[in-house]
Amino acid sequence: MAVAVDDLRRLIVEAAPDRMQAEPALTCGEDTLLDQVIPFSSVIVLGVIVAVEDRYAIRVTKQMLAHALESGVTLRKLAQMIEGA
Amino acid sequence: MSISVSVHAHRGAPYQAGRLAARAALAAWCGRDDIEIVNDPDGAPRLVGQDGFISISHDAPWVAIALGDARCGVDVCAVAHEPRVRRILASLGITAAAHPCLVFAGVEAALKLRREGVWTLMDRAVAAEPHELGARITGIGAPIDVRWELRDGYALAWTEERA
Repeated sequence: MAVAVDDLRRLIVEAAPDRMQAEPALTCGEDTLLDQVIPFSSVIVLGVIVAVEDRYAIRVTKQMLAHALESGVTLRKLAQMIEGA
Repeated sequence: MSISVSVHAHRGAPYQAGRLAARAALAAWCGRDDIEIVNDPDGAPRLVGQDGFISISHDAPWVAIALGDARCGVDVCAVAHEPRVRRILASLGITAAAHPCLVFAGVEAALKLRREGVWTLMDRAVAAEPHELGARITGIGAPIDVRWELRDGYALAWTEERA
């Protein structure tokens, strides 16, 4: 889990159009709602998912992503999504 | 049906800028400045005290507002995102002979129209077929015709339909 979360922090910053705006993702809590600390737009969400699929050789399904985004996305929920794939 | 689409440049927090721009657009659209905008549980904005529909899209430094007498969806996508958007569309299997930011904005506008989340795209069944004014988006329920324009620095797409 810890490795996935650290990976996710980096992937989010790399997926962001504005790296500086996304840098709070490097240090925020695992249960912090990401859209409260960075502008978590569709471009970032989908950019992260594409990067996750490449990095972990998984296929993110509609159900997996919907569950991760339900009630707000956090690093922990994204990590759990990867582990459950 | 009529729809009014406007794009505003802003500084500061996107959400607040979007709401301010929406209020200005609303005042111009219906001549009143006392209309409330609330968020439905799925996050979609809704007008209170005025018939009509609203859709809002942010992509710093732009915010796009669509107002109409029918359900509508709007999306703005900065062309600076082109490399990322191209990769995303390829991964989702969405290919179209048009600028990737136009295609992305068109798909997003269609998702907003149908009040679907981005996870809908993970089915890899959404397609965009460009036509003279925009594209026909399929894979999100019945086909949706979106208008789109590539402007200075951003792609803008919008659509509307009666419920």
